[in-house]
Amino acid sequence: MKTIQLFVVACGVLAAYLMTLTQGEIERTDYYDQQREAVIRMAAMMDAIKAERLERGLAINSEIDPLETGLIGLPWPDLSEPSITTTSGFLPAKQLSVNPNFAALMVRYFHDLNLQANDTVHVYFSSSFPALNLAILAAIETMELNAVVASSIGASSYGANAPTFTWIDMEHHLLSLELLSTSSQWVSLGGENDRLEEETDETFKETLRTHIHTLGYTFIDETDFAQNVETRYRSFRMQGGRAQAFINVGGALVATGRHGRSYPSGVTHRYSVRVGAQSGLIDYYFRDDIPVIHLLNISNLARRYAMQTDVRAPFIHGVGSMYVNTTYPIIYTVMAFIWTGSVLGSETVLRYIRKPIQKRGETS
Amino acid sequence: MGETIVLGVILAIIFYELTDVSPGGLVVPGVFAYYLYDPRRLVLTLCVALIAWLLVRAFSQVVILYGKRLFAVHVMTAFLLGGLFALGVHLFDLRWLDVPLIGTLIAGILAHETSRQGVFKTLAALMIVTLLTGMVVLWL
Repeated sequence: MKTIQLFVVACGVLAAYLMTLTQGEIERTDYYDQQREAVIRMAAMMDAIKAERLERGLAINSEIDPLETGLIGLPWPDLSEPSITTTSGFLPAKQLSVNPNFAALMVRYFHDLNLQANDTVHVYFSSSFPALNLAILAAIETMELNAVVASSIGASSYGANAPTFTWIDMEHHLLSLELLSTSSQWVSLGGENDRLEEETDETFKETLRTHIHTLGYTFIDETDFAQNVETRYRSFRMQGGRAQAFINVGGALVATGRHGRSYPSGVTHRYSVRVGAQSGLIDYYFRDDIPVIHLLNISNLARRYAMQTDVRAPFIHGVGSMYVNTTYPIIYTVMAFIWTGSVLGSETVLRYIRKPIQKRGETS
Repeated sequence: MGETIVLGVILAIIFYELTDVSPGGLVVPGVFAYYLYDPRRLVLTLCVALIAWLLVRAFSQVVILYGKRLFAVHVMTAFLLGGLFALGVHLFDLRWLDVPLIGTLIAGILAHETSRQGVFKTLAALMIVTLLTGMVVLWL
């Protein structure tokens, strides 16, 4: 096969691809109004959290939180002080996560899974992406889903990692303002072994446990990791029955497991896994054929849905491909296949025709 | 993602059977098709693959490299280049270049295929199968 032939074919296929992309018919999703409502809910919750954060005297650093949302936490802490920071967070991902359009994306995901009002979803929040937690809650409440939620308060850096204003403080505040009606059923410390074992200050951890009880949450403290995950899974099922979907935000080990396997970000309908001692909740749901929405690789998600990536410009509501369905014309795809097949296929046919002639020549 | 890669593998093998030209490996076109929405990642991965190919080509002037050993060196070189690029972006705070490489092995596989059949053939074949896969995926 000559290189020039390949280039001619490639140019034709590229032209067909560009024609397909440019001639797609774009129309709003059938659930556009729900998406807008979810975004407005999320924006209202974000405003309330910002006000509360300032009220508590926690300054907002505009260097790391350019839009001053109050939902981006602290950098990696000074090791001399007790902390709920569990791992190193990726700041650009946190800055992208404060986009209220993520609530619209969640509505899209729920519709992709054919979820209807009163369907049950099980949700696990680490505190690494508080804005995404809000996006999910906003979408859940907009679509009137029945959610069973568990949270852990350990967070990666730039997440909800201020010990005086944790994710459950935010959630509790929103509940008190009646901006939210869905609440976490169980709360754990998160981090290593889900017991914040990387933090050695027992007095500090006791203060956290007391704080969880004071806010009225049920505290989970299992010493054995596998037992912890299984208990959590059973609790989810006992509380809400079989779920139509499991939603996980962040990389808490209870959800992702300790086997080091990573899952695709977004909706995954099926995944072949074997549940073992190192498994997290995600494995259990996949085993039971329940789809999983996993939110971790945020930069990739933002690009995939053509969301704003300039984190210094205010996020405009309604921007992103999750608001639209695009129908592409098939004609150019068919033409591209015919073009490729005719140019490259004819070369192959000629090659096969020539071969017997050469063989005859050799034997004569 | 899985569906796109499987479709890419099917089209890649048909393409290979028809032309005897590898579209950068069996898996690569499917993975590229999945990331067509993010051209910066595609360009970065292509650049890393091509630089890895050039470096290994220079290296092979002084060391005998062939077969699995050559493949391993391509993969390792591309992996190291990807790591160095990420480190450079972080150290010099080049936000506009803050794009992750596609996969861990993809650039290395592409570099290896390039070394086998030449850069232009590989790129043209990769482009054909990637775009054909991408167009079909728009319909899925």
